[in-house]
Amino acid sequence: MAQKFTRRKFLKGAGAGAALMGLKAVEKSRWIENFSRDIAEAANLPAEKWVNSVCPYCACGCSILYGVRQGKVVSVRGNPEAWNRGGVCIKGATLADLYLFNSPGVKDRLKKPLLRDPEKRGSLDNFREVSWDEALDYMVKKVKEYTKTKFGDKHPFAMYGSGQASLEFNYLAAKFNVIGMNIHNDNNGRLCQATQANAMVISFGIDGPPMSFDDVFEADNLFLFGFSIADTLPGWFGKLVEAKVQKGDNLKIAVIDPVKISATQILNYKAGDLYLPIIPTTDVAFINSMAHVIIYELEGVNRDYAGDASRWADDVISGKVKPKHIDTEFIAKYVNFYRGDYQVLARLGKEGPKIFDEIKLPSGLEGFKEYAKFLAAYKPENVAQTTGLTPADIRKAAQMFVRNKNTMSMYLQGFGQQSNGVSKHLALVTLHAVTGRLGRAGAGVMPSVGQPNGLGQRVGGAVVGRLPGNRNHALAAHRASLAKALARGNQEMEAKILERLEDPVTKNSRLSLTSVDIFKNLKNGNIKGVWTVCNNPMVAFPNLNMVHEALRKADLVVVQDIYPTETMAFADVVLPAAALSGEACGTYLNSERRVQMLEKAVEPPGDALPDGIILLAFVYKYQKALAAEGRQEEADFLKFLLEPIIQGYEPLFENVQANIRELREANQEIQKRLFSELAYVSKGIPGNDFSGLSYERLRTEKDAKGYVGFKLPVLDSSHKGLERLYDENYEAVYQKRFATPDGKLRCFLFEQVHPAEEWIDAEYPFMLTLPRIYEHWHTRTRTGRCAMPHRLRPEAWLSINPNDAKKLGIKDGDWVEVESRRGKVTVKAKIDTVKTPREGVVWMPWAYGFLGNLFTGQKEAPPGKSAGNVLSTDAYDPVSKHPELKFTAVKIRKV
Amino acid sequence: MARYGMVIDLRKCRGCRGCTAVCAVENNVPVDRTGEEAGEQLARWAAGELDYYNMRVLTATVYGQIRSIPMPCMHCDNAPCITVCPVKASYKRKDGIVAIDKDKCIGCRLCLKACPYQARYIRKVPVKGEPKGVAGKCEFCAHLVDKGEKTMCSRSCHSGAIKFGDLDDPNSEVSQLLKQNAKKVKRLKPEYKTSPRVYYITF
Ligand code: SF4
Ligand code: SF4
Repeated sequence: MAQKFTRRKFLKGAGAGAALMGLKAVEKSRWIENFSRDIAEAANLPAEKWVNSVCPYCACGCSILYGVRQGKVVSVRGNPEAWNRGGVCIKGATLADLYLFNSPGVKDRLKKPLLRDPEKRGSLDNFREVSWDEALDYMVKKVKEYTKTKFGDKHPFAMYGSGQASLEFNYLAAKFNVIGMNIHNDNNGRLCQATQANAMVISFGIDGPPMSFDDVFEADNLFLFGFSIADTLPGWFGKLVEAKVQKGDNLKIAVIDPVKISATQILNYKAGDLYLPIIPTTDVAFINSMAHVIIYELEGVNRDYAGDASRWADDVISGKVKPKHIDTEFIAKYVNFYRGDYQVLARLGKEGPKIFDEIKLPSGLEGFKEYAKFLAAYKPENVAQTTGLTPADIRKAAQMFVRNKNTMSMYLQGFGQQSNGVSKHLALVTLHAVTGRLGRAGAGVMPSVGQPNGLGQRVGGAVVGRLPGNRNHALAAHRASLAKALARGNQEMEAKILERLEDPVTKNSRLSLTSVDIFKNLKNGNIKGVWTVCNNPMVAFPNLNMVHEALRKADLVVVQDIYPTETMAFADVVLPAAALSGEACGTYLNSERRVQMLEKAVEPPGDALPDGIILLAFVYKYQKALAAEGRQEEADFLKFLLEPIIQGYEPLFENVQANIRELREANQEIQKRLFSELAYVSKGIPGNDFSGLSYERLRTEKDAKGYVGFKLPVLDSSHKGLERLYDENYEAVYQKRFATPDGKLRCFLFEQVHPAEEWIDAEYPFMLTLPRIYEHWHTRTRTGRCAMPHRLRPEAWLSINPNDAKKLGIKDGDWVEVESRRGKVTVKAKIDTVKTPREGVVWMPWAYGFLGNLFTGQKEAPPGKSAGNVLSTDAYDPVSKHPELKFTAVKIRKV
Repeated sequence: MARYGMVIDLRKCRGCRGCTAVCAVENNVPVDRTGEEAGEQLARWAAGELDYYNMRVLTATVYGQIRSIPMPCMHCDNAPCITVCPVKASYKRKDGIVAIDKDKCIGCRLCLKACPYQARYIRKVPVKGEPKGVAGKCEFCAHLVDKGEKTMCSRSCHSGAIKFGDLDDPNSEVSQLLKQNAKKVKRLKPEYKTSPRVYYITF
């Protein structure tokens, strides 16, 4: 029958011409051995070697292999000996496109340092190519003037760094920007995981995502809060999918998200999985309401105690009642309670942990009694309107939460990028703690990371509030131990280092401004200049009109990157960097605390230099200039800090342009020195100590599971890392369950707090959220130059619920104008039946800037007519200073 | 001799197209990565002009949920594409792989029409050393298989949806999977009686 079909189909389709080609004889499949010439010839040119590296995109940190042939990257594959077991998503796989002959990835690369007059800002093509030394000297001349005055605790110049730069670079930034040169320094992590980091410090005593990717295999229930994991961490989602198939309905999943994210594709609604389309910013009400249901309804307070949780709690404390879902033992042993108070918590960074005393409630079960009483107001019926969820759904979620023993919650930007993000984490941790679903394989809270080295920027110490080794800046003991570790026995230097970190009189922390405040003050003229590294604030930052003004106003804008970006259009100085993944060596820390090595595969193009070398060259020249000007003390201090890193290489920095090759070579050794220095400095910091690690070990050894890389902490040279933090193994190592002074978890009674400066009204009736998309990485600097990602997502759009579209008379593909209180954009509407936002909510990808189509070069006028961040607000969480990228009030009009 | 085949677990596929992308790099589809026109071809691909793949991932919305099917060549044991080829350019290797002898192919498109799975296409840009306008398709990464390795897609799927191996060996991973999931195993378009070597584990 098959034959008949093909014959018929052939005759119909091919016509008489083909019939002449002797088809009669072909009736049967042929079996011919070694018929073809070598098929390998038709495949990609074979690589001569495969070089270990890590994908430069998301925080999965997939280990990849660069295939190199005659000094060129010809292929990219996933590394089978890594946690990702060879897996890559389209972003990682298409990295190979960037090295294709004559591709935009090759043609567009920045190859020479560039310079121009500040008046010429606004375009990409009126720069002049200069030598490294000319560019750096230009910067030095300006910066040494700025450092004669102060703004806040620091000199009025700032570096805006990145979670895509190496761990070593981030350590350099901490050592030389925060301490050495005493300038402002914060990273794009502020936009991404500041809430996670700050909230973890508050609850656990130190930063560090406590769980592992593989914990999804141990969990009975998974709660995904504002975490579009299929799009943002596709590698980890792969594991989640496997776990779901493996465990079937024994793994229940609840997705809490205003958008029906791709992860919902694996839900089995019939088996009780839940999709809860929550109204943005209202998670605390939902979490508290789940807690209410558990205590008042499932534990029977309503039934047996007429709703009096106080009496019930007394009976629990006296042992008269044994609760089913509340883990009294865990609470008594491990939990302290506090009142949730944003105003007090906001002072933590500056004043340190003494502020907790102001909001302390009774510990253990007495504190729990307060919590139980506090929850009285959170009956599902009372929060239904706020959260947009039905009471029935909230009850189902609460039941799922206490089903079996292991409940794991994970969250990312949807949770964090809101001006009440910290309160969400704290409310959630409290629920996990009182139900004893925390600190075990498969049970706990996993605040995730977005960027490939998002955690490394914290461990390196380049994010405000964190210090090298992921120390708490706010903790006097951490500041002191850092100063001691860096001073190498020199007491004068030790005092100096400490002075940069704290006020000698008040003992308050001396802190850099955080990202949003850096740009706001750039706009106000308080900060004179900014140096962005591996970063594109002209697309990624909230409130782009503000950024646009700030960059125009600044006296000095330095952009260090591998490709032209929207931000570069406002630069005076452009520094061409080597791509860390592929062209330099270093380490990254992924979202499960795994340190992995990136080896250099090929030479960077043109005169490009590795990030660390560029910063060191600047510091070297700056220090010389200070000395020449008689600012000897400052110069000596920098020299002291530089010494252990560049010893033996000083002459190379005298003339950078003449020593490009040598400096690239030296980078291999310098990175290694930086890593071991930081490893040494990290000693003793709970959960973040990697004093047992070295490049040697990363290159030659595997962890306990046989994968490349090790999970922090790695305590000595034979230790293979810890699978998770705050479980029994952790307690055995540290003799404490949590990293707080008394080893107890800090749990908060947080009310639902409303967003800071944004509101919905008749004029701006829609809530806009700006998620990342799977196909592109951040601002498309690289993925926009790769064919498949571009092809799949060439331009921005607005996703809208079909019912809202109908109300507004919008059809799929219509052009719409989206306007917020800060600006407007015009994009095509997409009536989204897949990643559908709930009614009243719309979403836009934030990856698109005014450089438009990176293949054809078709641009828009700055700040961009399709750049989602034109709309967003720069209001932030008072504790984490994490801006509100996931809630903007907008109006929509068909054009 | 080994007789290769593939088992794709649809429950594990989340439509990420990672397999399409790694295959594109490995097998020069749709652009010739070895040549000097690579950049120009890449732009044509980006613009949507080159639109063929060895491994396609079809997505559909079923009851409001996204479902995806990775579709390589089915390497049918009873392959209509071979039957129709007028010049015997399409052939079956002893190990079960259906391949094309590019030197013999005359680009007549008969196989494109004959294949019920649309696995074949005509290359708009030739790979270096190949004649112009020949047919192309997934060849189970024969160049890797010949070296004892597995196909690129099966090595690269994050969720392990794609498994490749010897279907004749009862102990191979693929045979075991078929055995364990016997009730859920399906092959595409059985009405064509093509006897595909690609099996799907369904929901
Ligand atoms: S983007 Fe993330 S999931 Fe994709 S290959 Fe890179 S690290 Fe892996
Ligand atoms: S890589 Fe795996 S999950 Fe992704 S589309 Fe292919 S088969 Fe599906």
